[in-house]
Amino acid sequence: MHPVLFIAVPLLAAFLAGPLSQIARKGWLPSIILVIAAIAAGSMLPSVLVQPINETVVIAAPLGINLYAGPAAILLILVTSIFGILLTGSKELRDHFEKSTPSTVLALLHFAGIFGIFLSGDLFNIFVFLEIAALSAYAMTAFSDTTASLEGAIKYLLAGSIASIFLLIGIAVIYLHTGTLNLAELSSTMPMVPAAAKAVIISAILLALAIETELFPLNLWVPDVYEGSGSALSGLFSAMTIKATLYLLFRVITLFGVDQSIIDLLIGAGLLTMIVGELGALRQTNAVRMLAYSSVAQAGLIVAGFFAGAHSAAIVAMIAHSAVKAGLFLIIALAGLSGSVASLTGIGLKNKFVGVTATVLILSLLGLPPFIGFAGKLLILQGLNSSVGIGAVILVLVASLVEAWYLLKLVSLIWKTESTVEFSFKPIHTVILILPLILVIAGGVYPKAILSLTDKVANDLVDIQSYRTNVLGGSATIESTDLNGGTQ
Amino acid sequence: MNDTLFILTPLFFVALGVLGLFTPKSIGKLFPLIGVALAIGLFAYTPAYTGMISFDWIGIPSMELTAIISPIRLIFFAMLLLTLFVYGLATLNSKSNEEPFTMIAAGGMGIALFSGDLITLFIGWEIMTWGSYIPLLFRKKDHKAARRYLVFSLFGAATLLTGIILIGSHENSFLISSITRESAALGVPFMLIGFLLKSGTMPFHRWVPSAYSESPDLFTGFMSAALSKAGVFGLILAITLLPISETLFATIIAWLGTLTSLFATFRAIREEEIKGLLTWSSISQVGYIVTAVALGSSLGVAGGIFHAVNHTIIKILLFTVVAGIIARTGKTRFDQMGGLIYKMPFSFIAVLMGIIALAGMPPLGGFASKWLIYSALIEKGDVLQLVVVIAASTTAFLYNFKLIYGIFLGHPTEVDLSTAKEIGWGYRLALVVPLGLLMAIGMFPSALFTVINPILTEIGLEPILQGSYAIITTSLGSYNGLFVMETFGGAFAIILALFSLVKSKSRDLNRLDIAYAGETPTEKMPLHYGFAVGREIHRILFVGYWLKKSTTHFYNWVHSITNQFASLARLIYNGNMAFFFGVAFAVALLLWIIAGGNA
Amino acid sequence: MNPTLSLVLNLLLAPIVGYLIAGIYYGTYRQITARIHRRWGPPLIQNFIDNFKLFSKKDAASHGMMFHLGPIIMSAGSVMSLLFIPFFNHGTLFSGLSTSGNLLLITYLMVIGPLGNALAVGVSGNPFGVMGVVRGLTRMIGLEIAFFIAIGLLMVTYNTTSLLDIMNIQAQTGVWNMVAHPLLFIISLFAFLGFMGSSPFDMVGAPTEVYSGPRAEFGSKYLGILMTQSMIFTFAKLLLWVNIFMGGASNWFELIAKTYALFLFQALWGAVFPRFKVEQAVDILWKVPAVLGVIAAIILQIQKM
Repeated sequence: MHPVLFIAVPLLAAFLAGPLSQIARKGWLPSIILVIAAIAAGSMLPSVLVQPINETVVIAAPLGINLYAGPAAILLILVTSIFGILLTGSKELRDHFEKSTPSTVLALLHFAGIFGIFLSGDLFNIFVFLEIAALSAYAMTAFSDTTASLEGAIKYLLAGSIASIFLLIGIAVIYLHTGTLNLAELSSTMPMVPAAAKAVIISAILLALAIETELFPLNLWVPDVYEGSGSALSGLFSAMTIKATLYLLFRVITLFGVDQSIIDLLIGAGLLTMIVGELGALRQTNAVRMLAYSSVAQAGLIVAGFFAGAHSAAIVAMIAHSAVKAGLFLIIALAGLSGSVASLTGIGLKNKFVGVTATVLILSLLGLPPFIGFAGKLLILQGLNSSVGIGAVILVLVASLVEAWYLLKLVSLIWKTESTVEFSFKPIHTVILILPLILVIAGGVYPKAILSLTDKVANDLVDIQSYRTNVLGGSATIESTDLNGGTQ
Repeated sequence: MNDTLFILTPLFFVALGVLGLFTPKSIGKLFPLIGVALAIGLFAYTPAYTGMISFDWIGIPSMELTAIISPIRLIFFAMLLLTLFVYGLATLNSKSNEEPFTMIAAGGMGIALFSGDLITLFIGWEIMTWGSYIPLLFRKKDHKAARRYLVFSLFGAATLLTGIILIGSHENSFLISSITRESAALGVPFMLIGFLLKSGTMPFHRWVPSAYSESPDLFTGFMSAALSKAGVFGLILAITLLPISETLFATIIAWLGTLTSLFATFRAIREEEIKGLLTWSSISQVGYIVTAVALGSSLGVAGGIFHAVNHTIIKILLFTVVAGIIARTGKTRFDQMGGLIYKMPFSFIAVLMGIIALAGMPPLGGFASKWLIYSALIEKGDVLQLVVVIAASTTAFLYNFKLIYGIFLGHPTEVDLSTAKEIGWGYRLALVVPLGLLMAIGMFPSALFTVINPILTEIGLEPILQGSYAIITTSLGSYNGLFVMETFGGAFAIILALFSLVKSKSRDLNRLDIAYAGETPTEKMPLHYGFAVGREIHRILFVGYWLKKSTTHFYNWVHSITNQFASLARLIYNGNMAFFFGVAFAVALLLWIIAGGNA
Repeated sequence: MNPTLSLVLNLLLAPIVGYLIAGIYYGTYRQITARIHRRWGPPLIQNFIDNFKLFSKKDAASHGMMFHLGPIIMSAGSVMSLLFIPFFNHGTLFSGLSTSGNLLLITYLMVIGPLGNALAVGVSGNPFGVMGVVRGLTRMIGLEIAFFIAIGLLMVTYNTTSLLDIMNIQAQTGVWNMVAHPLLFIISLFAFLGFMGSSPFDMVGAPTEVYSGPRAEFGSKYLGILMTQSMIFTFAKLLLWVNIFMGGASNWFELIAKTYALFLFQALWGAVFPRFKVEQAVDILWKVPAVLGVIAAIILQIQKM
């Protein structure tokens, strides 16, 4: 199985979206592509866990382009595809896809970009795919064609552009000093870069990545973008896009071998993001905005946890976050287009499955056993305690209390009886919610199964030596002739 | 291991609870009783007083989940089972259907009780917490009460987790049996806050009144009788890990318990809702338990456990009767009730026995635990604390009287005597066991020491050996419960017989025919004084002063401060992209400096 | 004599003896009060005559079964309190069940009476009666605190809760507790006045002043039995104080002398004092004994050293 197909198939589908829409049922194309990607990733995963696949395109690394399909990449592709399906299958997004072919194209390009970020082995491709993903995201934000969504799109564009500019600056300086852009190669040559240049590189790249991973104080654009794009798209960004950027942050920073001061800074930034995010969510009346802040806060926790040493737990938290946010954003999308908190009133009584799922997902988000959120949070807190101290633990727990206050407001509303809200969704639309529900419960009751996976994933991210060996050492590489998926 | 099945009983409870979510309501009502039968059956099948199992849950060796049984865990589990049994019988009649969540909460508490390591304790604790949170969403009178309850409980859980992580990282293992004193000194103070919060000790008691009044009536009984004991169990666990008797820390906790018992009693007298009075009474009784346990001596811990047992029986009794009365009459306040004694004689007897035991009066069993607690305080020599506890106990007579007078005596206010009926059969059936237990403990108070002494040995204290079941002996004195009960019965019978010999014939008067300031009252006159019992207590200077104080202000302050910080977030997230650009460049500069740029 | 038979005889006769003695005491009380008021006063056996009269009335107004049983519970409580207090500080004559009880038990048995009263008054539905009961319960808060400050310090000093132990210690050292711990005795006298129902703590019944009171609805045989049990109860209280603070009695003469001395004290004191309101009473009963108790505790600490 060639990793390049993860990028090639969505791109191909994007270009063929016009003719395909006559055959395939309208609006289902992105979901179908995601299903294919999920199945492919799922079948690849067992073999990749043992031996990562390094696929070179045209020329072997370090000169050429390579795609590194390690456990991290494939597992994250699997997870993001599965939970992306929840959102692309929602009525809101399918309506957009049906209305105009460009919308479908944009979504497919976005997927191609995300999968490319996961698989890329060199900085230039990372930049390219990041741009593809970002540009399509900017345009997707404007799907709803309202003032808010257009405003969100412009803000996203501006913020993303800053990130791209700085990323480019960093890439330029790297190329100037090392002559290569291959990540594996850079991991050995970066220490030799002069300090002044290195400072520029680190600060530029870190700024770009911080903007993309929505760390405080560079996440000021996030609430407006999410609120403007609407519930389903926010769910997509939350479940898919941010996983790619987090992967990028972890991969790049680990490979570059930064100082402890930068690591500490990242932990601090993560913690700060969490507390500010939770506080920001406290008084929101728009549920999408509320969950946007919550998403940001969780991302901060994941970053802090990863750099504090709880690598495996951070991955678990990423998976849990995907599942929970996908589910919650879908439920808000079901409730109606206004996205306000009040629109959720009484949804639990209208459809008990939705109510139960929402409650379970929220309890998992709060980190309560026996759900998956608990396992992740516990291990992250342990990591924070050993690398930072008990103060960090207390800070995270305080943030959790704030989180509980506003999330439980949602729970109370969901089960409120005196509701005048009219819901228009059908039970069939809610069946897909079973996926996050199962993951949350199963992963919580027996996290060992998930942790055995994420341990290998974390190892893949952290073990620089084996990354280099896998990419440069010449084991199990597959030759390809061109980018369109033909084999030798 | 053959006792494995019994140790897994809490998991069966949780499974039953989850199953109950999918079964029709009428079947779900039977689940508490099924659970109790299952537990008793499994224990009878392989009776064991020690045992352990473990489960590699997360793949990290130091974080294996373990469960153990030991005397102290068994007695608390027995209290849980008793509560479930009474609840299970009474709920057959009730209209609410929170039984699945009761099972989940009971299972969670069971997991916490049987835990052999701190992670399992925490998991059980949290399941118990959210399991008991969901029924609070049912009544929909006060929407914030459920949220407040869960956030408060999560605060306690957060302190618990902080302590657990401190101990775990210091010790590199979470097993309770391997915790050394240094690790305990680090983590136990944090954990204690969580335990005190769960038991409702001041100043962490703010969640109790609103949570109890918002929950379904029978579930309130379950919360009061069973869940608060989880906090007591934690407290005993804490003093086992970190023997703190003789330290300032222990004194502080004992005094928190004492002050809780006093101030909660004052508050209980002022309550005009029936369930509210029982709630504050519950808070105050747990104050006694905390005081006794924090003393750390044999007598203290024995008194604390005895009082916990008594409290469970009494509270499940009283809450069940009150639930039955509220279900029957539809009224919840004292000023709506009155005069129900002859229409609800069984309820009256039940409440009478309940308040006799609650007040700690002989000949029922409530006196034994009070006596042990007083003896413990005397042994310690702290007369001031003894006097405050006695003050609480004496003041409690007022709200005990209010409880029985407001409902049964006096004159009916909004209830209609002609249509009033006795409480449902389920409720009545449920009360038989607690009533029997109260009488049995009254007659044979030292029988309970057959379970308390092994616990004392387990904790590392001296057991208090007893001679016979009827006579309870300590180094400070003794009394014979059987004699007290027999003499009371004998005296009552003889005096009644002699009284009946008197020739005067009793003539029953009309309800309104009372000596009333030279006139006969009419139907429309408000004659039911009962609800105002205690309104004048604030005229006693000390009591009045403290009744005006409340911890609500503090919590409101916390709430508003948090909201203000949240509003600050809006200042930063102002949607202004120029601001964002400025921030981005500033951060870039900062990063450059940190990365060594100006070197 | 067979010990069980002698015990049963003890238990049956003790209330009767108590009743007779207390009746005479109350007779003298009425005479003394009368003389203070410059009148002759009724004969000594007037209380027995009144009691008998109440029982021989033709009919009695009642408010149902609970009203009937309430005074019975009260009497059972009073009798029980008496049965657990020994008459003499040695031997088994009239020692009742004192070996099977302790001081705390006796204190709690003394509360059964007010409970029975409260139930009966409550079922009668007379709001004034209930007011009186609430006053009584409120007053009891004050009394119990004062009482427990005194006996609490005593129990802590001797490290026992048993009444017999306290009596034995007085016999061994040969010194009465009244003399050994005078402050504690004074504190306990506050409570004693209240328990005996004499001014300034007699606001519960507050005869001739307030209409309401716990006796509001009772008449004929019910009032009769209330009177009987009140006299038995009085004797029990006198006996308790003699046993705790005055070394108990070793013979009938000492018993009569000591109990009458106490009784006379409260009679004379009550005769000249006005009465407090109940909240004032609780206030005084909390403040003064507390201060005195602190002083006594300090003295005890110094004595220990």
